[in-house]
Amino acid sequence: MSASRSPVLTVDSVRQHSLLFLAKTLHTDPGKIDADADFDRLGLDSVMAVALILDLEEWSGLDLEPSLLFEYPTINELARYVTASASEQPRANVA
Amino acid sequence: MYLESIDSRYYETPDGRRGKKAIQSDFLRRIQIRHFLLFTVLPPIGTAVAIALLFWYPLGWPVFAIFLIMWSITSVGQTLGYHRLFAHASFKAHPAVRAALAIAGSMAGLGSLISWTAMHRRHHECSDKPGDMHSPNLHGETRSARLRGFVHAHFTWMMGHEYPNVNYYTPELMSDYRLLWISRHYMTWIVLGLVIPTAAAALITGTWIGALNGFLWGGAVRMFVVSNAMWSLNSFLHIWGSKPYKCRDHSGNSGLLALFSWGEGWHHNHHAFPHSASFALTWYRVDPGYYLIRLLQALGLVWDVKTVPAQRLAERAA
Ligand SMILES: [Zn+2]
Ligand SMILES: [Zn+2]
Repeated sequence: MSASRSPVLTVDSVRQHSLLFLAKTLHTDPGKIDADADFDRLGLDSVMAVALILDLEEWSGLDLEPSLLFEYPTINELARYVTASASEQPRANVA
Repeated sequence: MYLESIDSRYYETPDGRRGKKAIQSDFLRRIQIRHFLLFTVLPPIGTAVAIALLFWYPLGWPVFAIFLIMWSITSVGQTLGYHRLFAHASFKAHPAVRAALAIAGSMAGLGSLISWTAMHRRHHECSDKPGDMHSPNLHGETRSARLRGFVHAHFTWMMGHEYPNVNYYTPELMSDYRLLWISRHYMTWIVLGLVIPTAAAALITGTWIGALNGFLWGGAVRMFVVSNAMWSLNSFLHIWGSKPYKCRDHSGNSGLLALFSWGEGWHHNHHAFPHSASFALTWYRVDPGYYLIRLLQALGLVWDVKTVPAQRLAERAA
């Protein structure tokens, strides 16, 4: 993907993107983050939870609720939800 | 980002994506209300109790000294740390100094490091225009609207406000894992800021009432005093105060408030020259925070202290 405005949204790509964001903010290796662990257990607070959602919004062009992480409390659940909602709403960044 | 405010709602990335600069949601509002009750409503109640207790137990010098020390530590954490160092990068500091200032600033209970810095940068970007979370000047011109604006800017804005996108406003803090860690443990530092004066007073006085007074004066009263000084910048000093430089917002200076806020009272100077480590800008205005920066610089703990040349001050004189 070269300077892509509209990434292909799959469970895998959303998971990958979220892992990279969390690895950076938690200062760890993406491979060391359990995609099935609760965000609480990963050490995420509300500031970072909202930051992750806003980052996913910018990246995907979707409109996402800041409280999503509380309804979908693991990376895998979040990735499944985001991918599913991509088929239901128009994406801002898709040219 | 600090230039003319174009769009206070969206930003664009170089590769053409669009992101939100700030958001609002019920979920965030609940967090804000809880924070408001804990750190805006409780300190004045504690202050009232502390003053009432004086009728029975006079305030001894140890507790007063503890109050002064905690007031200094958290004020310095706010103005040198949160404000001059992290929000405006007006000087560079040793990692240990950065951590100490971040923790001391957190103890003030005015928000976690990253949230506060993001909100503050947005305040400068939008100053007194839509998007400024705590402008007293956006409520209308009637007398009652001005009063509502004042109260909003002083503290009621914190009951529910737009929350800035920290990825956009504070990218360098988001990629500094030490600061992120300190920011994430915000509540720990607040509790520490209450435990320290309580324990110190208990040890020095050896009495329960001494410990209680340490908690009240080193904790509640201190938080009340520090937060009101900082909120006065948003309320009083975005309405009144002298305005010696050309500036596109309503910020003003107060030399009196500067004495009680380690130099923060030169708020108009600061809006006119936000990257200056000195808020006084000139030698004849008192800026204790800046003297402390100079002292730390002499000790080799901070460097690259930014100042504004006299000629640029003259050019901007109003
Ligand atoms: Zn500032
Ligand atoms: Zn201001």
